[in-house]
Amino acid sequence: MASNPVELISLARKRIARIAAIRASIYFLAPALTAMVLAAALPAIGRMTWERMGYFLPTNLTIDARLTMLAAAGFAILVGAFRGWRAYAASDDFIGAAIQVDEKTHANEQVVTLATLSNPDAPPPSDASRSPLFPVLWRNVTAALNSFNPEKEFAVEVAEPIRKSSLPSAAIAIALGLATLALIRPPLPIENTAMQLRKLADRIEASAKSPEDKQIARKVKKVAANLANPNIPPEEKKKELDQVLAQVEKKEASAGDQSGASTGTSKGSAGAGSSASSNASGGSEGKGESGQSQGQGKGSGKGEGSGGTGSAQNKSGGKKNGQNNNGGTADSIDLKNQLAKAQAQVQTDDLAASQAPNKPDPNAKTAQAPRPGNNPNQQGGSSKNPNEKGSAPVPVPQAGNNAGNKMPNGQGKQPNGGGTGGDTHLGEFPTAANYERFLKPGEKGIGLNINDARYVVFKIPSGAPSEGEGKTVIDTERPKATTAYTNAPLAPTADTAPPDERQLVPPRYRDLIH
Amino acid sequence: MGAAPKQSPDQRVAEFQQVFARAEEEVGKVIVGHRDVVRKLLTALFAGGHILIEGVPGLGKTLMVKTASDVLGLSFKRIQFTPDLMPADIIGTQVLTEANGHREFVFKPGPIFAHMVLGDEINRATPKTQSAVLEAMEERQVTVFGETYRLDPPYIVLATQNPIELEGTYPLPEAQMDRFLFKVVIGSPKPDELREIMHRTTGAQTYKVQPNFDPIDAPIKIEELKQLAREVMVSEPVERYIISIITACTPGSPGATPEITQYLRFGPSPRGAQALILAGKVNALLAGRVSVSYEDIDDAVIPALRHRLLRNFQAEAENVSTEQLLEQVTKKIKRPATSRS
Repeated sequence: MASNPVELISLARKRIARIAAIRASIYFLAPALTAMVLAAALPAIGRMTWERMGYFLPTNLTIDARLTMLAAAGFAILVGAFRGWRAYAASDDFIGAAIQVDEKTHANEQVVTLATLSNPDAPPPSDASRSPLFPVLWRNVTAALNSFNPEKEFAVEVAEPIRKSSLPSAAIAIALGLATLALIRPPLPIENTAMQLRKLADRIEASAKSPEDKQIARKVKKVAANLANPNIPPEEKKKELDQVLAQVEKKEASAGDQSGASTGTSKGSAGAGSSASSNASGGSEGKGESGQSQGQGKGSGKGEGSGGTGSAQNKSGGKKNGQNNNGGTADSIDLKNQLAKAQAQVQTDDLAASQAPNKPDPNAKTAQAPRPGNNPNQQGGSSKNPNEKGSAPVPVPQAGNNAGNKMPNGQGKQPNGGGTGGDTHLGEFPTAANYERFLKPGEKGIGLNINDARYVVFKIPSGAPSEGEGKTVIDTERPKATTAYTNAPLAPTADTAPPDERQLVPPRYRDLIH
Repeated sequence: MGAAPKQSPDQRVAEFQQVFARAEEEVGKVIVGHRDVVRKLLTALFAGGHILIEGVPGLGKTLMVKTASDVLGLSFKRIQFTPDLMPADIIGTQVLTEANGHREFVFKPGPIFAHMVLGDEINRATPKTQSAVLEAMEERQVTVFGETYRLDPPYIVLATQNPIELEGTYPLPEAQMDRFLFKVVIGSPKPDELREIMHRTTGAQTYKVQPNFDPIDAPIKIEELKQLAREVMVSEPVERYIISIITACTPGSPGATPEITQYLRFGPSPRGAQALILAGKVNALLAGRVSVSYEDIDDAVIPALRHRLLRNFQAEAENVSTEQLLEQVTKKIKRPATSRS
């Protein structure tokens, strides 16, 4: 330790300046750390809002919010550094340090006086004579600073600045929390589906018994992540969904091969209809050629078969039932349903995106047929439209489709339920739109998302001109519906009261409804 | 100026403390109580200033000054100021004398020619007579018929004034008040002190003081000690502290407190700052230091500034004293934390 009082004061000066810089910087450190922590925790906060409150923090907004928080944190750090530099410059003062040393040593301004007379920053003029008493002052100050240690006397105390900066930190946290609340929104259907897929994948991964299950879970997670990403083109999403769906079916098929033979005649267990590729969100149903059991659709549109009473009256019923019994676990069924739902949503979004900018000409000759499989009024699995002379093959719903009677919320009007679920809104019939959604021969249709639709208007093509001679060939081998299509519930309701309102079927539908 | 001191600085400081302490002790043998007044008196002496003592009659003001002069070995003169007192009665006059067969005017010095001059009840004299003391107090010289006569150092005027007998008095003008380094107020003695006063003044025993210096060497010694007081160092923050006090006591200045602006017409002159520094230096020496501290200044604020503040009508009507205002100022003023503040 220096024994020269001026050197000691100089040491204290540097020490005080550094401490001042640290204290000034710390005022901004806590808010910066708060912003950074919040930025890091924002995805977790988004997950919690989704899981606990049912609200979704969109990914792009999350990224923007995190970037904003990080930018704010960076700005706070910069401001803190600037304030620290200014505090250092302001505290880098010989006389100021002497004042503080004087207070510490209770020297009654002797240290300050010595510093004034010996200030290296402002040396006295050469012709100025010091007081004859200066040696006494020097000796007194030396004695006073004998045991003075600047490092010990001027300790870095950060508690006070942190305490003071806790208020702005809390304000930042509250503001960012409120901003997060403002950013969250109910999830889009596709995001909802992606979330469900992720949960399913987690469940599958947790209960995986084979590497194949884990691989499927990983793929499903990847698909779910891409599904909610608006930057990935729909074609790629569809491709991924198809791949995963195929892999799931392949896995189920292999599991069914192993055990299906022995239980070929067994009845379908709960969750039968696992092979259904129903589009639950569309509320449509497809009738499988296998005569699979008729699932009891839930109003929520979630493709969940529960009435597994496989009749096994088709040729391959035993095998299919065996598959359902062994290969089709609840998670697997859910997974397939969610994948199918996701496919439909991707197609819907893709179509909406493609139609939004340039609406097609309604008179165009390239009219497409209605999308099959989702139309409850359509003959089950019919490959041809009865009114159509052409041979345009309409995609047939996959076997085992148990999506029959799965009606979305508020859409499935029970015949006995009465009510005003028809098209009687103020006596007006809604104007139909998107008549153009016809399929070209050979095209697969897309799923219709009528989850929240109030009306669904169907228009059957009046007929397409045949290019040939126009000879009508009756397809006798086309699959026939074994169960009448109806919106009636599977179980009769206890309510036998007459409906509140009776309404005539609009003329345009009288030929369609039997 | 006295000869160059042959002692070391430490010895000079020690001697100053000894002289001061002995003077206080000797005066205390005669004057009961009033230690603070005695200290201020001696402080003014070593600071080279004059002192105005205010108190009711019979408190021992004259005895105190006389005793102090005896202790220090200085010459002492007393002037009783009355309304008919003329300036020539104070400073002296030319007297026609006959010597060696011819007549000539010879200057006959007045009572102002002494080291310690006691102007008793100075506010009883007319302003003309009071102003006769002005030159002597400030310039340490008097001029009679165009001829200037220097007053031997050390020179100190100790004036007393009676605060209650306002009839037939002439309050000192501000210019003259400003020339006093201190104004001290003597209060009534406490019961114990009064008892001691009775014992000392009504008994047969007499109290004699022991002079500090030989009367011949005393002026030189006192001047050396006064020079030592002026060598005491003052730091820049303390100087700025004094300036802030003066500024705060000046109505209309940026640093003036609201009370000062409300109750004062005029603040202290630069002589107030000089008084603070000089008194602070003596206080520092008495504490064994060679640099002035804030406490040294604070101790001198009221006696050095109370008579330099001119109250307005509102202050007089509300009975707001200058001492109250100064106490508020010293409480409000912050000591400099850094040289840039």
